[in-house]
Amino acid sequence: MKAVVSFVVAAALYELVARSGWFAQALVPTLPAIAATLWRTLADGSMLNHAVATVYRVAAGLGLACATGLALGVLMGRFRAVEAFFLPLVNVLMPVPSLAWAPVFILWFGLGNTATILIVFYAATFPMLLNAWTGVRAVNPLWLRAAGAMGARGAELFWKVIVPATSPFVITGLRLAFQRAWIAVVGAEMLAASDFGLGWVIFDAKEFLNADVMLASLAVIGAIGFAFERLAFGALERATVMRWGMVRAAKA
Amino acid sequence: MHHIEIRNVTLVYDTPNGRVPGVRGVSFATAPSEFLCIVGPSGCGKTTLLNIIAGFLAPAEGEIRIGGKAVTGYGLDRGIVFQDFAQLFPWRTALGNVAFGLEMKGVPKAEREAIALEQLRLVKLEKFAGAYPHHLSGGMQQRVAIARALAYNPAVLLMDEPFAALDALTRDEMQRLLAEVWRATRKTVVYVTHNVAEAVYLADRVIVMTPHPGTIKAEVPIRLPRPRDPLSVEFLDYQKQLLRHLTQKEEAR
Amino acid sequence: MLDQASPRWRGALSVSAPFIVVAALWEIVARSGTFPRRLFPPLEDVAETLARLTAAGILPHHAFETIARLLGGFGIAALAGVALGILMGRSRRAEDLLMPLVSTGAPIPGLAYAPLFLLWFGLGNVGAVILVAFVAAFPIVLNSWTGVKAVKEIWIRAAQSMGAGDRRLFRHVILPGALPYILTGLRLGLAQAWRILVAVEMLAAVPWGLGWLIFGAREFLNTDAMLAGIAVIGAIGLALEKLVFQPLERYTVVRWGMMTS
Repeated sequence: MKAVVSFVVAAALYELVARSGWFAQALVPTLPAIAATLWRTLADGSMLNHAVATVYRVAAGLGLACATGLALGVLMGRFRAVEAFFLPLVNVLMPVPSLAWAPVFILWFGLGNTATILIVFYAATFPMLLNAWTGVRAVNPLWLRAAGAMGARGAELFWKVIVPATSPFVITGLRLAFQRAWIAVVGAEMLAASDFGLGWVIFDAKEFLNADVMLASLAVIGAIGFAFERLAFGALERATVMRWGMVRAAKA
Repeated sequence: MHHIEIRNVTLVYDTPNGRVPGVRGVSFATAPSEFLCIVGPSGCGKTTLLNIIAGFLAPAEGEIRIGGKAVTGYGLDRGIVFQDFAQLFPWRTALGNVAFGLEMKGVPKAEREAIALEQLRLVKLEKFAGAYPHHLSGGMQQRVAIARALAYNPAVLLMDEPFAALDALTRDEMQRLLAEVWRATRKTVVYVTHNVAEAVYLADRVIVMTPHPGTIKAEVPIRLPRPRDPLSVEFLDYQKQLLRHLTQKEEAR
Repeated sequence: MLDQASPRWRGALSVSAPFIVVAALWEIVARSGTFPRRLFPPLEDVAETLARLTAAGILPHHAFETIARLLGGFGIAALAGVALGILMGRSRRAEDLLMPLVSTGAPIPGLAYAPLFLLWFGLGNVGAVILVAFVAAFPIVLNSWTGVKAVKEIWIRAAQSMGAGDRRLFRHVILPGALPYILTGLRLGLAQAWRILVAVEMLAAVPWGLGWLIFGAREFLNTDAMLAGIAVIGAIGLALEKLVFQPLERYTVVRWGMMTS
């Protein structure tokens, strides 16, 4: 209820500025104009096409990042030699923003999906990797002892103890990886996509001063991000670490 | 015939300040189905000794035999219960935890769940089979841990102060329950505690250890009928006797 | 002497070994002729470009402009963000009004605003700095707010019963109590600002800046200049990580007593 009030106040303020005539209508469109644009682009399916393109790129990049980050993170957590080799590389590569690679990837692979997915992949890998690595090292040694005393070895120890014990960290990693990927995909589409994607729409609209298209796309980007964050990851957490009472570990 | 035989076991810790002996020249043996308590102040090496018997630590010298076979590493012939409630796997229900050892052995699902439920009944938790550990109280969690250690039918039960983190009332209840479980299963138990009354209540025989380095100070057989009355004169006499052994060393220093 | 030196040598070797392996692989691919040299230059080309651009003062100028924008944007975000966060933590009305807006705006990727901001504030420095500030402000606001909320009521009551007025309560109880969270917010905000800034420099038409350098180099297929630029970006990022983030993190984590090992 209070949230509604604050949105109404914010919307009224915006509307006042938009209608005041201080700024060009094209730059600061009124809310009905934005809503109309949103409705039009949803109805003709163009917004949906862009959203599908964006989600596809995120899914592909995030999928690659999870496979790489999880595998490497777990190996680093379990084997000293793997950790010694990859940790220095990770430390040096991680502080480079993923979008800094955009020009290089564009040059190598051209504008399009490959460059975009690679940028998303680069952005999402590190949070996944670091969390898997930390998670494996943070497994309570008591669980390993208890499982060992009950005869768990090798693959069984890994799948039945280490994997569930690491899950709070992995889920946190997945959440962070998605947030990074979602930021990266928008930037990557602005720089490296050829003709589809929500980021590309926003950037393209700038050329034609279509602020209403920009704001409508912004709303869609926010809605999709929110849906993934709350619904997908929320459900995953409720089904696993929250049910097991391990959610504190996830927050720490 | 001895069931567990500990012969001249010594373990040395490497610390920044040099090599510190954790346990030195410890030898004892237990009969089958004997309930043995190891009592001593913290730092006397009793937990270290238990971890050596469990196979988590390898002694620098000496050997351990169970049922005549030398111990190398851990194995399903020993069940172990730790002090920390966190020993249960939070991602498995009480039943799932108890069935874990059988699962590792390759026992089929229906069979292992039946056995696990039977074990939970033994510790009076069959109603909580489907509960996750974080929904159980500390005492209930420790009961699940006992059921878990018994489920795969080990010859020996090793217990490391399992009730030390419980409140006094729950602890009394747990001790009574454990005495019942022991009578029902006739396992050989090695039970580590710093609580003298607990040792007198549970044990057939008590070994007193003293620290720096950890050595055996005395062995006291408890010749009291069960179930024992903690308020009887004989019970209190045994307590006094053990306490005397524990405090003497400090006077000697 | 030799015995004492050898562990340090071994340490240096084990840290540099992965880089030597990766560099060797790069070199093999670059020299194999599979890809054109302009697109996949050998490392000595990159090193030479790096040295040349540095000596000519071009690279330092780009780096300087980038760091100036980073500090400008982050500075605004820090001041506004901490003030807003504390206000929201202390005033019920401010919280009710602003919290829904902040929590709605936070999950939207900052870069999505970029074209809008460039449209509104121009393609130059102003738009870039305001965008960086805007994006970096979210974690700072949220963490400052959490920090003020995390100050225990009993501390406030204790201080009040000992005669602390509003101002001293703020200075001696609320601010120190919230500090670990505020520092965490600043750390996250700076990291956020850094990631966004490089992208913004590519999108905006600024004449200098590392982002612009690498994006502009694309036009002329100067892969060596791009990689030199990325190396400098990485070096600045690494310096931020080692000199700012990690000490801050250690400080806040220790303050919280959350250290596990």
